[in-house]
Formats: sequence, C-alpha cells, structure tokens
Amino acid sequence: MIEFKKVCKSFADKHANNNIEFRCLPGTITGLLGVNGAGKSTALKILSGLIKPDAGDVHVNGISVGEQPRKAQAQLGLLLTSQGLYPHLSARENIEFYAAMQGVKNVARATSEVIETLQMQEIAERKVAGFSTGESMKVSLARALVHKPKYLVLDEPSRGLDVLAIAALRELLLDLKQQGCCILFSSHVMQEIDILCDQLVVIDDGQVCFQGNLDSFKQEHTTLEKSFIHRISNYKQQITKDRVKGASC
Amino acid sequence: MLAALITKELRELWRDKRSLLATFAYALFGPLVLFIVIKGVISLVVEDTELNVILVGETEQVQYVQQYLQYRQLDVEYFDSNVEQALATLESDNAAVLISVDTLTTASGTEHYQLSLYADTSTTSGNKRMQKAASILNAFVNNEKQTNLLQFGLDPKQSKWQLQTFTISEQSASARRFLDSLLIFLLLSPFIITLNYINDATAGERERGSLMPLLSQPVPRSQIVIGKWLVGSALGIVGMIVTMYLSFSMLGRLPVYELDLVLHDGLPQLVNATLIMIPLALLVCSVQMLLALTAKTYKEGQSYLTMFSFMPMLIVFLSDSINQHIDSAWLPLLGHQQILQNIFSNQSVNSFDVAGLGVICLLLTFACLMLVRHQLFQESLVQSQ
Repeated sequence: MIEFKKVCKSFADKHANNNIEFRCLPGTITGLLGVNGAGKSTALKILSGLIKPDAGDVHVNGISVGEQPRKAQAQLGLLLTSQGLYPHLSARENIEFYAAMQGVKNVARATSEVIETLQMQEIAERKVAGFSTGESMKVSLARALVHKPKYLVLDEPSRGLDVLAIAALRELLLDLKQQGCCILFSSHVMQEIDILCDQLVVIDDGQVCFQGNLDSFKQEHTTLEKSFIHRISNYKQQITKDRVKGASC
Repeated sequence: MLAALITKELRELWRDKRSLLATFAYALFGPLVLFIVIKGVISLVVEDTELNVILVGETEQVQYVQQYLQYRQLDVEYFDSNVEQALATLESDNAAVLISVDTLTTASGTEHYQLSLYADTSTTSGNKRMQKAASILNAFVNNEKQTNLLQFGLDPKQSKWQLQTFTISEQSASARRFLDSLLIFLLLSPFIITLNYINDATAGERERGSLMPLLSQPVPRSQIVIGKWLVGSALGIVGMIVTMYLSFSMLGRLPVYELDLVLHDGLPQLVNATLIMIPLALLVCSVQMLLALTAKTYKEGQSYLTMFSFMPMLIVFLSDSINQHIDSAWLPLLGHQQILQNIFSNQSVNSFDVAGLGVICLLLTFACLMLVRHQLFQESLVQSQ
C-alpha cells in the first residue's frame, strides 16, 4: 500500500502540499488529478524520495520514505518524466543501467523480458538519441518496470503517445493491476482516468479535495470532465469564501 | 552499482565523439602547438645571432676591418660601391648590417678612420643585430687603440682600472619565460582535459533531465559522486600523463639550450612530476564537479569551468608577488609550480613539502566531494526540472 500521511510541503510562501492524506491499495489503479500547479508533481517527488516533506510522511509497503528512502525507492517503479534517458546509449543499455541501479541480479535477462513485454525489440539496439516521444516513453516505462516493482508511480505516462501506444499502455497497466501491482498515476486525460482507474484523488491548491471511486466523483454529471470542472470550481469558491471569512474575523 | 555507474559514464563518453575529441584534444594537440611555438621562439633567438655584414669603403683600411670581422666568424661581403647603393642591398637581406669605412683628415693633417654602422632597427631582431654589430666594432676600435699604444711602447694592461662583470641571475629572462610557459601548459592539463566530461556528467545530466531519475534510484548519493569523480579523475590523470610525456618527447627534439635553458626531463624527473601532479588532478576534478553542479544548464557549467581554468595562468603570473608575502609551498598550484620548477631545473626538492602538498590536495578533494554529495540532496536540483 502507498500511504500519504498528512504531508505538508511549502516553497517560499506557497503551500505545494497541505496536509495531503490518501491511500493506494494493491491491485488497484489510483488516478491523481489536478490542474497545473495543484501539487501533484510535488506529491510524487516526495513519494519518490527526491524531496523531503516539511511535515508528515509517505509509506510504501509499510516502509517510511523519510526514514528509509533507499529501501522505499527499491519498492517503486518510477516514471516521472519521459526525458532523462542517456542519448548515447541504446534503449537496452539504458534499461540495463537502471536494472543495475535497482540491484537486479540477472540484469540481461530482466532487460530482455521487459523489452519483450513492451514489444520493443525493434528499437532495443538503437541509440536513444533521435527516438520519437513515444519511443522514449516506452524506454522510460521499461526502465520503471525492469525490476518488477509492486508499486508503480507514473506522471502523465500517455503524454506524447499516439493512439496505438496509448491503447497498449492501457492494456499493460490493466495487466499489471491484475498481477496485484499498486499503480498511482497522474494525468490530464479524463478518458484515460475513466477507463483505468478504480479510485480518484483530486488535488487542488495543495489539498486533497476529493478521494473516492469514480461513481461517487461523477454524481449527477454525465462525464468525468464535467464533474471535475464543477468540483474544482466549487472547491475554489469555497476556499475563497473561507479565506475572506478568516480575514474578516 | 558503482561498476555499472562507471561503465555507463565511460560508454557515454566513448560514444560521444565530440566530447571524446574535446577531452583528448589538449593532450594530443597541445604538445604539438607547444612544440611549434617553442620552435618559433628558438628560431627567433637563433636568427638574432645571425649577422651578415655588408662592407663598403674605398680606403685601404677596409681590409683590416674585413679581416677582423671574418676572424669573429661573420659572413662579410665587400661592395665596391657607395653607401646609397649598398643600402639598397641591405633592404633585401634581413640578417645584414652595413658598415662603411671612411677616412677623415683633420685640419692638422692627421688621418682618422670612421666606421659607420647602418641597420634596420624596426624589429626586435634588427635592434639586437645593431647592438651586436656595434659591440663587435667597439671591440675592434679598442683593439686598434691598444695596438697603437703598444706601438708607442706603452702596455695597455698597466692601467689601474679594470672592468669585470658577473651574472647573478640563475636563468636568462627567455629561459624563465619558457619554463613558466611550460609549467602553465602542464598545470592546465587536468583543468582542460576533464572540463568537458565533468560538465556533461553534472550540469549536462541536470539539463537533460537524467539526474532526477538517477537520484530516485536506491543508490547511495556518495556512490553517484564517486562514480563520476573516479571517471573524471582517471581521464585527468591519463590526459595529464600523455600531455607531459608527449610534450617532453617533442621538446627533446628542439635545441632549447639556445634559450639558455638546461631542461632536466629524464625519466626520474617525469615520474616525480607525474606523482606530484596526480593529487592536483584529483582535486581539480572534485572542484569542477562542485562548480558544475551549481549550474542549471550545460552552457552555464561551461562558463564556470572555463573561468576556473584560468587559475593556473593567474597563479604562475602572480607567483612571484605571492611568494614574497607567504610561504606557498603547501598551497595547491603555487606549490606545484615551485616543485615542478625545481624538478625540471635539477634543483633539490624538499620531500616534506611534496608530502604536505599531496596531503593538502587530498584533504581538499575529500571536502569538495562531501560538498558535492551534499549538493545532490538539494531540492533545487530536481525542482528546476
């Protein structure tokens, strides 16, 4: 289980994460929604041990990221950016390097397996320099999956992918879910969330403004998008009212 | 994990031909450039000593002058013409001066011989040629005066006044300049050779966004630092050794004695110099990592490291004034300059200073690496991506 426990993080005078608290269960896909600058990426960076929270903690499989960051990182498969590949190495070498970083014992075998799973045989031996966004994303995904993590964290994984690649990604994520993998992913594509996710966490202004399943999120609205816009605007109005109230008191 | 990190760094460096060329260009082409420059300086000095004389004059005294000049092993050409015609010939010969011999008769009827010297002094070499010819002619005139005194039965050596000159400088100015240039060239090598790799492995990785995924792996940050530092240091040391050995093997083919310099560059001296330079290469690599990691982009990192590369030049130029105020034997670069100068001039080297300098370099290296590791925990490194 991935568990955010009252996580707070500020940059200068801005609360990027303010008392964030939610859980992602094994064998489920959790969608992390929010407008740009809402605090999604900060939450994912805290989860991956890249930045430390001012207060609170995140637990991965019961391991505290704050106290044992490396142990927690070993549990995670991370795709935080489609970039960050080594352009002069081939796709296989990029994946092999990250397998070694994760302490995989049989690096070559694990790499070949993930290449086969993601059907990357055609691009595996090519240098990453000159790859399309979709090809780079595939390598990044393979890099995140090579050590067979039980917890997968994906930040906008479908960004830059074509229709076929998105369909393949969906299939893969559903397959991993079936295998008991706990997946947390952020996206702006409502259709993707609608098809894949079992539960939703909506963050706005650094706070969790909704946590629950899709049906309870949609309520009377026909689409996820309409429901999202409605909820966010309501939440913003509420926050403004609370602030005005606080100021007048 | 460390082995995988080192393999990845080496693979990247090997595959990126542009970086590879930039890394080893200094070690491979630098000595060649140094060779060409020093050869040019030597030929300039040698050219200065070349002196051809065009001699004109109708008087029979010309032959005395000609004999004397030939005795001084100068190439003398006699022209049976006037000065104006001979001057035209002078313009076509860069290494020549014109000496005209004339007879003057005083009112009392006594004959005097006048030597007139013409030379083009618009260049440094021309100026030196003029001085050299003037000094030879002075010697000739003094010699003639002494001969005259002897003819009158007087011994010219009986004079109570004698002049004796002593040279107190250990080296000539040109030799000192040459040695300084050589030391700058050698001290610069670890700075230039590792610049490109270190910048790419730190600021470059940050700019490309590959530092964030790397830092999110369960790898101790100290291993990431050590992996990159080991590759950078190895490049610096290998490049520095190649630079040094290539430079001295090329300089060995040049007549550096023309610069009044005896360069002691045997194998023991080169081995000692290498051992002294290794701690410097380690220190330079760690400081470069520290500087480049503060940069957000590759270009920014390149600017910082280029500015840092001016340090050896600055130190060598300011060494005299710094050494007047402090004992700098244990200071990196200043100490290295002094010790290398002593090694190549075959002067004694204080082994206590060598050990002290090495220890200081290693301690500073360790401090820098700790700071680099600390920097890898900074949130600004991942926040900018």
